[in-house]
Amino acid sequence: MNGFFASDAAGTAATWVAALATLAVWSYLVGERRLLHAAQLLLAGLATGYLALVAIREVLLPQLVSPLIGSTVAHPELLVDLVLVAILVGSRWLPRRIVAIPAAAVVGGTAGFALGGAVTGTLLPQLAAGIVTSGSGPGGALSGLIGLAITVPVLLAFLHGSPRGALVAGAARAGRWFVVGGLGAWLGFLLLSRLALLVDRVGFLLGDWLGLVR
Amino acid sequence: MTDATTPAATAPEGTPPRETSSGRPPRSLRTAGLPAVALVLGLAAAWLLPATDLVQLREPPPARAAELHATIAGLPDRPLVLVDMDADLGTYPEIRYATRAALADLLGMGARLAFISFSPEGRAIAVAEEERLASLGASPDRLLDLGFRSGAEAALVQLAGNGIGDATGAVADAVRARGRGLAGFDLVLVVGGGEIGPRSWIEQVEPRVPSLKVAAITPTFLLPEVQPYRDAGQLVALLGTLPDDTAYGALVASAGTGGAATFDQAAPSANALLLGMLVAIGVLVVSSAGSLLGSTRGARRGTR
Repeated sequence: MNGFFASDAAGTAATWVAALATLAVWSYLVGERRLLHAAQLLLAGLATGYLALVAIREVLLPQLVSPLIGSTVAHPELLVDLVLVAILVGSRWLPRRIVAIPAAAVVGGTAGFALGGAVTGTLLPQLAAGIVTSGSGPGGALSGLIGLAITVPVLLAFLHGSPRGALVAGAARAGRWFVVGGLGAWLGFLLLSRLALLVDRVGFLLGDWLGLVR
Repeated sequence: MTDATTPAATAPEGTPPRETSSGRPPRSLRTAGLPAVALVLGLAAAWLLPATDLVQLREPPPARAAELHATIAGLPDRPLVLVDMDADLGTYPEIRYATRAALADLLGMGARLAFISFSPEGRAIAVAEEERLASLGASPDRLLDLGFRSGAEAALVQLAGNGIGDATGAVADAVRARGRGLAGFDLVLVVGGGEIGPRSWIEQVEPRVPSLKVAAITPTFLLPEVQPYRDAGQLVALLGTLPDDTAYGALVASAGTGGAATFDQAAPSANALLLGMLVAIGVLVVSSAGSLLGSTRGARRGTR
């Protein structure tokens, strides 16, 4: 059913390992914590090993080590990268002021990309899409009004410490309820999402492992 | 469910339950999971029940399923499609059905697929899916593995600027022959997760490559985040719920053309999902009623 495991011996072994790992996790439901702990250790170990492998094989070796070995002169910027990586590796023993340099580059770069993208990719296009044009008809106008009636109170709900009149305070209170309603709706989506995962696991045990369903 | 005779029941609030002298957890913990065990067994029983017309996920076909099918059907002959596989290992089972349907749909159209990932988890899924396609008979000259790109959103920006870089193979040559960088792809299919998903593509790539069409498949919990992009036309198609996925799978299965384009995956059990949702609603109702009852009693005590 999941299509990852072939029908040969290796696939059968993989299916059994996956099924037993699933049962080990579920054993917590009847109070058995040792099997769950073993499954957690297995997951942590596999994830750490996999991440290390990906970092070495697909990032450090092809993008840093190999180009430097090939021609250091052609890639002077990689020397800077190498120094920054070395600082991060030795961050436990180096002075905080030195470690702050690569950390600041990572945090600043991430924040810069995120903020720039949010403005040009989300905020401005979504504002443009929210503008009701003359050709959108009564349905579009109603939709725009509803959007406005929800967005403004929600924005007001995030006002703190500023002087408010009765109208603004009431709108902010309504906005907080809209936020709560939105969170409730999102939790509903999350519930359905997690339920689908549980059903999939049950289906795996019934289909791939026990062969009871196709 | 708390047993007054157990150590857990007498322990101060906030302290974890102690194990008994035999090393086993207290009885309260052993029995607390019984409702969950019953739920799992109930889901299994529901899955084994035959499907009926009364309970179906895919009727009527949601518009979102038809949109993705029409988007792929509208691509030019032998299209070049970039598949960004960045689902989470934990949530991929929810969208695996729709993802495989989309891959079969694309291969049925004669598409040439390039896989790329920006998260390590997505990379693992991409490798597994590429191997699955190869085992189903997908020709190697129609698949290109662009591997893992580190740097998350910065890597997306780099991809938008540099295109596929120095990748080799028939698909890479075809993209380069078009001479438009990333815009050489006819479509990007984003299989998204919590780390990298449609929002990352919309924010980092689309402003830099405006002509690029982006379609997406996401788990249900991401739908509220990405639906506005579909409404605004920033995504050309979006699958974000199980009914969407199941309806889309049915569309693709009815149009299968053989080989790797054949889609015969079993859809998620509608019976089991219905049972799970009913249990969830029941738990919510009971807990809400209990909470309301408790607050009413508290208010009465306060007035006395």
